[in-house]
Amino acid sequence: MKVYRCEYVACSLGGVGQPGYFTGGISAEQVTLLTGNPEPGDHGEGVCPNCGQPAELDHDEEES
Amino acid sequence: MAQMMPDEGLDIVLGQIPKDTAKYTSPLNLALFTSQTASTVITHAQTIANITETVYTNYARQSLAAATWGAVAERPTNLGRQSTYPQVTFPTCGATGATINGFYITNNGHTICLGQANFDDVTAVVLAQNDIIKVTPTWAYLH
Repeated sequence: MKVYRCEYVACSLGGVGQPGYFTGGISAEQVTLLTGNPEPGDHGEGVCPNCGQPAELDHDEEES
Repeated sequence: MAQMMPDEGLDIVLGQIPKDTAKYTSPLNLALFTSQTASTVITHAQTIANITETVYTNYARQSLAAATWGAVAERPTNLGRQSTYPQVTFPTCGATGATINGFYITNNGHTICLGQANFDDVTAVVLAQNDIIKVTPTWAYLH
């Protein structure tokens, strides 16, 4: 399971002033909900579900 | 609300004071669990293996950096001392939700549970798509 790191400064994911972590990614429907854009560009694996910005791969975690 | 610093977590604390045999590694992890109930946690002798971490879509545990814990202050009123971490936001729930019974803090490698707690309103949080859960952890030692 890939864990991504969102460092977008305006994103609230994670602790205040720190990057947040997520697995998976935002769906196109969620981006539309977030931004109002009916045809969003970035979405899917590795795109932050909180802010819709592409994130960096942090590490790969084994399923437990 | 139930909370527990299990044996394995207290062993880490005692390993620093008074034994000076262990130094924990920052950051710790803040995780959400679906095991136990909204008002119960593991027993003292149980471990991280007895806790089921949530797997809702987009979930990942969040880091708790040593330097970010707030100033040590009184645990009101005169109960002890505490430090509060700034509010932590977990990822927005995607297609598959979950029922969250509380949070737990683990060591850097996520191999030891340092403490587990329900939410203070002892109510499970039922996460559906687009829901966001935010947690503000406090760590206290009582006199």
